[in-house]
Amino acid sequence: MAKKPNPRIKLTVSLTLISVILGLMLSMQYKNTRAAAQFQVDEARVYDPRAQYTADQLNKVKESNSQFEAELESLKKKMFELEEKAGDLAKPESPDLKEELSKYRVMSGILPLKGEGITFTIDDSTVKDVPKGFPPDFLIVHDSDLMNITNELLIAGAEAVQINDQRISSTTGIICIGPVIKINGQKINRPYEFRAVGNRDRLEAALTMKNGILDILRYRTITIQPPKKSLSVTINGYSGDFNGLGK
Amino acid sequence: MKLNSKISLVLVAALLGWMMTVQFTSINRPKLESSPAGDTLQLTTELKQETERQQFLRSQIREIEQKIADLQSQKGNQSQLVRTLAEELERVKNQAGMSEVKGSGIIVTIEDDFDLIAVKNPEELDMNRRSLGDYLYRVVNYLKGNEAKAIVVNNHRIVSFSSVRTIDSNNLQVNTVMVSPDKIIIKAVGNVEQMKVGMSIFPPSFAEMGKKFTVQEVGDGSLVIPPYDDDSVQYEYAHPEGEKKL
Repeated sequence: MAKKPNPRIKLTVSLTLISVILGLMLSMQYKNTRAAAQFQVDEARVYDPRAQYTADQLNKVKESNSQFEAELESLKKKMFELEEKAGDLAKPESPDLKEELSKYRVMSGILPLKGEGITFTIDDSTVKDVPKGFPPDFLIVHDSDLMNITNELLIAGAEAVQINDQRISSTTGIICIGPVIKINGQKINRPYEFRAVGNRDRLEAALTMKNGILDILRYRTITIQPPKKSLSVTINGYSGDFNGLGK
Repeated sequence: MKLNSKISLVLVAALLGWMMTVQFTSINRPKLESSPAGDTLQLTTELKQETERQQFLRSQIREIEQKIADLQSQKGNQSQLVRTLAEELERVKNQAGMSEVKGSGIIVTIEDDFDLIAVKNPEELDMNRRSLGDYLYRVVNYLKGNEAKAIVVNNHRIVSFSSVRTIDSNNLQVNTVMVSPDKIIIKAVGNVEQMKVGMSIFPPSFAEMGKKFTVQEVGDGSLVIPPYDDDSVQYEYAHPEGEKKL
């Protein structure tokens, strides 16, 4: 005759199994619910019809602007070449015209330039938790940082400076509007790549000196790709309207 | 334990599980208030700016196409070519900051305020004054970012390579020339209203240095900005692409 199983043990095993299954079901349900909620939030953000329509429009205009910019650059190149030839033809009557035009074009920032100099990049901090005693905005690159670096480069004798694709001209402002940094009225995105033409040793020394501008940024945990010296740094031509000057 | 009791227990556990699930679902339902209206506003602002940029680019393209046509049609006429190039030279000199500019604008005066100085801690004041150059450069930047066409700081015209530097709390350099920090006068021609808005953030910062920051409007077009005072600028390192050197 088979021995009857102990009902107490049977009950304990059953209850344990039920509890484990219930726990598993609950945790899976919780995870699924959270994922679904997050998905719905993301969906709402991406598929808001008004935002989506405006974003599509913006992308179209940006795309055409890139094409217009390329066309403008090529037209400018053609015009500069024609002016060169015209300057040669005008030499008997006005010998300095060609050189003067070139010199002031360089000064104004209209001409794309090349020469020895440095390039480097800065970006927001990658530190996730704000260190104790740090204001949170220490970890972000501000307009004032870009301004101070530009000023430092110019003090060190930079002849031309560019941040991302924006050339610094006589009317270039680097200002924050809300959370956005604008240069020449154009929104620029991080990371911020600096290009400067000038004496490369002097430019590098001005930035890397002890307690200098880059040390201050490093203290704030700002991400820095240190200056690279180069014999050939290319700088864009300024393509703004000089705030309406010289129209 | 009887069978009935076991069934009841399972039913209670299942009910409990179902109730908790309903609870979690309701807690994590996304709030619909977090609509992307802010994103839409930002996108709309950016779209407006890009559209304005497009208008500017189109007008630039038309302008340069006209110049190219003029230069091509004047090939055989030397005097006409000289006139065309001379006009272009004047325009470029103006944009480089090498010509006088006259128009409406603002005059910003930054000078010692002895009432403020009297109540400040001398050490703190001296420390704050070491930032004068940085703040002055910021003022110049905010003028440019708010549609200033031409700026001069204590008679030193701001150009593409201008810099501002604090040597110590009593010495300041603009365009590498020493200027007195006791009274700084900045003149700017451009969009008066816009520039005034840009300047509104600065008085408290300069007050920390014991300085009064005042803005005066010149709306009758009579404000004169002198040209950059050194016409012998030589570029040692930068040269146009395709050229060896200037």
